[in-house]
Amino acid sequence: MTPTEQAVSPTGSDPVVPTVAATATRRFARERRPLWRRALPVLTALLLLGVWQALAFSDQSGLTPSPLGIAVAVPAVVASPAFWSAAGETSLAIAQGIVIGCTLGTVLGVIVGRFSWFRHLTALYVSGLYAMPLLAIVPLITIWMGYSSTARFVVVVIAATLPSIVSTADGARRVPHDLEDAMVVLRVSPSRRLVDLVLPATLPYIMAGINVALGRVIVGAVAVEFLASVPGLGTFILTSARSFHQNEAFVGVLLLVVIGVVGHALIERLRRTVAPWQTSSVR
Amino acid sequence: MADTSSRTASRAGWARLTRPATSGALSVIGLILGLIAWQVAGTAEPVLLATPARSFDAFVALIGSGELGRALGESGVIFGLGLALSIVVGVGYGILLARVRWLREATGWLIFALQAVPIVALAPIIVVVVGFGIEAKTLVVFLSAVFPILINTMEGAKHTPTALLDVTHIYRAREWRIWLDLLLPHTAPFAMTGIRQGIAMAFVGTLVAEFFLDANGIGGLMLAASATFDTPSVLALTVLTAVIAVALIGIGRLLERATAPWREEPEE
Repeated sequence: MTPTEQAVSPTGSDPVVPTVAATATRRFARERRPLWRRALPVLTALLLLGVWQALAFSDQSGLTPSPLGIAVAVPAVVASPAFWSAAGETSLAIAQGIVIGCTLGTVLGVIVGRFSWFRHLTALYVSGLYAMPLLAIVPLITIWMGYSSTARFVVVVIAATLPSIVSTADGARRVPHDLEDAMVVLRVSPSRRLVDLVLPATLPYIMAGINVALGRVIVGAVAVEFLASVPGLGTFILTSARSFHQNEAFVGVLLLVVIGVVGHALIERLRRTVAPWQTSSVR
Repeated sequence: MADTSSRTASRAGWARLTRPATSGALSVIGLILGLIAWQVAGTAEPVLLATPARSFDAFVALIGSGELGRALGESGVIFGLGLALSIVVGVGYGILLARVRWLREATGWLIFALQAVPIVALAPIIVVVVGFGIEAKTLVVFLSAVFPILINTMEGAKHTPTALLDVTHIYRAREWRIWLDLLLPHTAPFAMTGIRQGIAMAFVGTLVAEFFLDANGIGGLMLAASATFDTPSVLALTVLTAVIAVALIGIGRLLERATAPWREEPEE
């Protein structure tokens, strides 16, 4: 997609000069790309929206959300306080889950990664819970916590904790051995070793864990809201769809997408601030 | 000095020898500790938490009545259909995108945009538009699983060695021969990484479909048990789900490892 990616020759055996020449021709070709090709993404978007609109129009029941319908629904939805209070509830739950879950996950992850006996002791539970679709714990949690926002809080925290533990533990195990040996030889105290070596070395993995956690937290929050009718964006989508306001429901889905994209951007920004030495994300 | 170093060496050797045994023993101890905690908690709170024995009895009862078998069958059908569809579409379209440049320019961005949509949130809309039959449920599984497969295949196919592609062109190979003899074999390991992720996502999609569309299958069984506060059954089914998930991920890893040896990493 990007010029650099295009320019990378997949066959490493090529001599240098042809590669440079190839890069030049390709760059030349890119600049001379006709207008219709540069407009291709926009054209595709318009075409797909048109097809979608036509399909929705041909649906006699009028139950299919359509692009025009959604565009018309946006102002009314955005003006309604119910929508914003629902959005606020869900965003707050997502933020709580990320902050509390990832803090917990980082602490546990460092312990799991640093102490092999603890890792083996908990391996069964960590890998089982990590692999399990989060939805599967929701029925159990609703029995324990009732159909309340506490249930959502618990699910969201668990959703964030597990990927955080797994990723942090992975990073804590990969601390460079030579640096660690040097610290042992220099008799650096264990607490200093933790602060000056283990945590900085693990930071990229901690951030990668938070990124995975965000997606899972959003899904978890919405799932609990659906099942336990806790007020939030999930309930907004569900009640809108059930009262045949599909376009309004779709606006709710779009806001969830926005929350996800903004969340990832914020995490990326945080990563640049706390771990500027790391250029690309792990994995 | 020499004495100490030889002792540490022998201790390291001993540790290497006993490590698998120790880790296995620790896992078993962890399992036993967990079961004891579960037993204690279950005795103290018989309503909210059932003891392991009661959960096991509930599990046996579910098998005995044939409910669990039927539910697993129902879940298996939508899981299998959705996963098969997402592999065909994901791998097919992924390679096509690598072959046809204008198609990639036209729809590449769309894939990443669609991937950001949480499928769970779409479930109520899918119910209204498509219904809650097997087609709708397969659609949910398909949507959950297709994007990792599509994206990994696309990235892999994009890095097909140009020299080999040039050779196929010089020999005027037909398009289907290029796919069969070059693109598919080259892309298989990358696609398999996507399929491994897709298998896990398809299972999530199966539960989403059963929770929010038509409540049957293992998800429906779990919801029904939860609605009647049948804690032993819910616990048994939750543990079963975890076991299935771990098994599916294990199968995915095996598939990935089987194709890994001929993986050619793109040189950056």
